[in-house]
Amino acid sequence: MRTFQLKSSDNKIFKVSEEIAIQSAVIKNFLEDFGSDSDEIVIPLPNVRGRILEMMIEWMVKHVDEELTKEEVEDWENKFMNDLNMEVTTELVMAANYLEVIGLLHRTCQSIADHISGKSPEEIRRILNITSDFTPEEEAEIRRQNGWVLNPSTN
Amino acid sequence: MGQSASSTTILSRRDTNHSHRSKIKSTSLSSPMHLDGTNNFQVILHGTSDFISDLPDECLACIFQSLSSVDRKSCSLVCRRWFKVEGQSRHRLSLKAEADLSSMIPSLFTRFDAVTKLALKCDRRSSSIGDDPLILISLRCRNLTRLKLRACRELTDVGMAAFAQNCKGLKKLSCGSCTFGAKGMNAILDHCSALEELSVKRLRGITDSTAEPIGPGVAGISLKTICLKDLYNAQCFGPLLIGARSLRTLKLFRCSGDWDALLSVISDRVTSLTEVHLERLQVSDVGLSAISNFMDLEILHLVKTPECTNLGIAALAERCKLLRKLHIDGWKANRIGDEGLVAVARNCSNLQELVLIGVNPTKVSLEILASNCRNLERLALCGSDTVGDSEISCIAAKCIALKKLCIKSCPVSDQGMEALAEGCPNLVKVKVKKCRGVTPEGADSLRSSRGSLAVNLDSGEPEIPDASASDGGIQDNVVDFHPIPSQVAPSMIASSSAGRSSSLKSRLGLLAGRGLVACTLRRWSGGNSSSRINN
Repeated sequence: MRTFQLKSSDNKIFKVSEEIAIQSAVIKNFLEDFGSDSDEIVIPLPNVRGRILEMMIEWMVKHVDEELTKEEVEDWENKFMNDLNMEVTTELVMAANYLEVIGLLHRTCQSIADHISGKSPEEIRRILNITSDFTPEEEAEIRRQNGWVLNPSTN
Repeated sequence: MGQSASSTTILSRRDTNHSHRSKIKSTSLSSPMHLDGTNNFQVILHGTSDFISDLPDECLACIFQSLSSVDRKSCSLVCRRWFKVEGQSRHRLSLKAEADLSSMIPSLFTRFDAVTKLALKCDRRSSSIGDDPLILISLRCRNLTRLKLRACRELTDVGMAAFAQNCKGLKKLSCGSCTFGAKGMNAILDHCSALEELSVKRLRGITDSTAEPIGPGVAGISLKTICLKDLYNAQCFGPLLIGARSLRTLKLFRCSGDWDALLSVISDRVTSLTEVHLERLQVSDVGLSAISNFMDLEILHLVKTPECTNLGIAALAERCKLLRKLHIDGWKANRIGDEGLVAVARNCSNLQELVLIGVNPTKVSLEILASNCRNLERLALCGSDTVGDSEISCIAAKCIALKKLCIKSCPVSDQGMEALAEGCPNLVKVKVKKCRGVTPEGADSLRSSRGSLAVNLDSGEPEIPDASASDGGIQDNVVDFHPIPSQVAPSMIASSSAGRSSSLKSRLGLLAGRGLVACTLRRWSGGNSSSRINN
């Protein structure tokens, strides 16, 4: 089994096996293009800081562990997500998107969606610290349009 | 206080991030993603920052993907960027199809420009969109793969024909309570060569006697599922059914006319069917023997087709040996019973799911079913006067693979529960409903003897029957795994006034009635209006 080194934006080095690293479609392609069997390859990831990369690797390690049942992995995922604040979650979304770790991308997006679900626009803005840039007229127009959109689950 | 200042800085920060983002996309691995000095400074200044603004559009879209339509509407009102991303990432859209929608179409479809699955639903009391709006939509959504129309009464053949020409990639069409006719339907079948699923319910335009034949068109080759419900003139679809060479699933619900002849012709030409649902149809053993030509048949639902008998079922079972799921609602006609079920048991060893409603099987057939169908995992017995404790004991002793058992309105008692406690090693769920002989204590003792078993007891106190179930006319999903025996239901209305909320009352009722369970139940199922006295 080949191993590689992943280098974060703050120059932290992480050694990972190929099996783990190729959960990232980007790294997988990178390795295929590189074609070398050397252990010396260092893959620079200038968009991901060390702490985030570490968490990402933790995620990927859990997802190749064949000794864990599906339920155990799910439990682990839930705990993993519960421990994150919004800032770290967002950073993980970006890192997972950038390196194309699809499972992590969906799970982190789901976690943000869970925070939004059932909330009013005002509450969402407050939770995520977003300021509305609509004019009152624009907002009224969107509300008018939304009035024509049905909610299938309740119909 | 300080509100306006903070809002402008956040906005400007978002702007820099936007330009940043495009840079990341273009230079991929080499460009740093992190905030530059000024941004970091602002983060410190304002404490909490607007993290979400750092996310690229595709991530935001990914977040929206798992939200409901209601939540997505809220998101669209958060800020301009969210509005834009939410609109562009919406593939599934459901609109109120009232006449006034016309004026909204340009703005709505500019906003939602990536829709591939569209539903247009009109309220029964409102006047619906006409042809022009549908044509306008079809011009804007050329990539539509699914269209659902509900009660769009003003829509005519003209609109459907234009739609069909513009949206040739349609894969799924479902229309209910519309008034267009055979011409509109034929236009779809002639143009949409990728159509896989067609579902038609109450299409009023083809009920007149002059209705022209429908299909097969180019869609005849691609169609995999056809579902026809509540049609007076469904036999107009004959050419389509005969020409649908790749058809896998056929569902016919409450469509008038004699189906024996048509099924015979269909079965001569189409052999690919694996799933057939027939409900409240005029179909007899002749039709069943036609269906027996579908040698790959895996799923059969035979609901309230009183002309079908043991002979037809036996003929079918002999040839359709791959049958996995069989649902029979015998409607208390007693024409399908032990004899037919024995034939099923002898021939269909793959059977996994068996649902019998208003059918009266005895130990004779259940014993052979249990010993021959070693894969039987789900069994439901509803409104069967003959299923008592000895039948349950037989199931308990012999159904090795059984995982789920549902018993409803059967003369079963606590003794049957005791038998279950010792049998069916793989059982995970038992549902007992409206069986007055089974007491909460009986269910408890089953629970305590089988720790991992989920026992769901709905005590003998009858519940208020679902109106849609009792008339049997409108309901679509009656024959799910736990169907409601509609024959029994109407007679229970009278006794439901006692109120099932009071558990004490119900327990008292149970105690009083325990000895009389079997005969009371029979009297009820006979539609006896004096059931209030029995209670």
